[in-house]
Amino acid sequence: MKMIKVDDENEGRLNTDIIFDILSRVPAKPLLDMKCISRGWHNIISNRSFIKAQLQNTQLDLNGFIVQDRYMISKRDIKTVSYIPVDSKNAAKLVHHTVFSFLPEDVVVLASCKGIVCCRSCLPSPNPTIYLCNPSNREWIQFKWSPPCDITESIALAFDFEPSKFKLVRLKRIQLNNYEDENEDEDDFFFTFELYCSETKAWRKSTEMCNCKDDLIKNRGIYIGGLLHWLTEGDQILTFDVEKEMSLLIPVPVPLENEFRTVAACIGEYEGRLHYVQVSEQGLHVWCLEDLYEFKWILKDCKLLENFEAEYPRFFFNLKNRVLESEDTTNPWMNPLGFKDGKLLIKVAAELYIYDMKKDKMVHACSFLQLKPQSMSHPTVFPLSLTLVSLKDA
Amino acid sequence: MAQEASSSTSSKTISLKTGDGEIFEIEASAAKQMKTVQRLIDDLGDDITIPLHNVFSKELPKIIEYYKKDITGEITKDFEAEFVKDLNDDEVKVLFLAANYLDANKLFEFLSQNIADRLESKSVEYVRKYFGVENDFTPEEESKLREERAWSFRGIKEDE
Repeated sequence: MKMIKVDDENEGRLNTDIIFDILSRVPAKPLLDMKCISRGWHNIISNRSFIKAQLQNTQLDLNGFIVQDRYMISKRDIKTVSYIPVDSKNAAKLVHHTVFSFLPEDVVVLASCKGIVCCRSCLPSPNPTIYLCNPSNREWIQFKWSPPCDITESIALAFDFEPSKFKLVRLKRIQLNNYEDENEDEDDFFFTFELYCSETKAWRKSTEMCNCKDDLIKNRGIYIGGLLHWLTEGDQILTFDVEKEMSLLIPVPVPLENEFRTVAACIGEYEGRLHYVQVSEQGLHVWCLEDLYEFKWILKDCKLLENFEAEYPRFFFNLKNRVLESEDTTNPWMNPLGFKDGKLLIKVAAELYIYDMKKDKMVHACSFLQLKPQSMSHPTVFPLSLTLVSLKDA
Repeated sequence: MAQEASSSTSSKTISLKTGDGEIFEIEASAAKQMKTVQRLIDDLGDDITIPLHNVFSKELPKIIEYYKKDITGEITKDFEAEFVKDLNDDEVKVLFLAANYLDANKLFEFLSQNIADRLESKSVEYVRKYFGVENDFTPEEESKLREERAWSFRGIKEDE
């Protein structure tokens, strides 16, 4: 940080260096608004060394949730992408639909990491492309999505603030018939990994495979501390070490009693750690993975459904009974969709709410209809933070 | 009036004269934290009153208070919070500019962060006025900028 030699001309004036110093301590969200202040300020805030300083001095805050529908079985993608802001000063609960309109085509969102979003062309497409973009500054880079392009495949983003160094991990599920097995009808399912490295600008198949009988749900990978995590339908969380290219299955904190029950759960990052959020008749539970290799989970937050009913009678009339009734169906009455930084986006019947764990406060976000739903399955949710990072520096 | 050896400056006080003619005393070890002051001492000697044209009697006592705590190693988060609690945004700005002029690094960093914290929740118009910046965007350009970011624009009104 430069100290300014004040000469007679500059006496008492706030010059560029001082402004640089103060602004580099302001978080991204207000800073992006300040770009409107003047052309000079727009330039300062867009400046590469400023962005670097600002990243070091500030923390990323959750800004909102990207929500997108998926068909359960189809060869076509749903093009609508919605955005629900977390702190809305507007009394009217606005849901935005044009956050990604700066991209050259309609997209399917694949991953969101530290403010950078990875998405792909909607299928069918003549020229399948993968985009890496920053909605805050409307910049993007693109590269070819190498065939075969499977509409169900999961691509996750491993990004650590440096725009020139990122990895994409493409997850595919394959079936290998294991004829040597005693039970000849048993098929073995595996996940395979393919990596795209920004430095080589090429895809490469990893030798690693993970034997897992369950498929993914809430199809998105979460990147925390060098590891990617995906939630599966069963009792396990698929984890992949991006550097070492090693996979691991972490058991969830509460094993499912009934294999056929739909899991009303999701995973997310909070304070640099993986968290698992589950809703059951016992209430809302938030677990934190304290030790990865020991599979040690600790319970961070726990709230009974009866308490939600009592505190928010208008929102959650008869909540516990409804949750119980829906437990054996594929459509949980209360379904946690996305979690980050202590905030949970949760769907209850046909409404969406945001629960702030730290403040123990529940607010109504929007109605499900505002998301223009087109399928019967649950939408995929990606938490989004705002960042100034410029992908053009990649 | 013998010049004391530099090794015993710990108990020596320096006289500082503000731009509006008032004189304040500060310990030599505290003065050392303000590089501008130290430079002046090196040039002019530590026996004469050091003139500070750009710092006034309203700010200097507060700055001295901060560095008094600093040399005894007593600066805590609570102290810093208390220090700025009753200052309004303009008072902090004046103090900050004084710290800049005095090249007082620790105070500069602290106040810079404090101003950044205060500005987080302010409107664009307020920030413009605060820094005395003129808006050189045309109304069309400005509304285009806001429209592009409508989904994350905070839309804070100035009187909020």
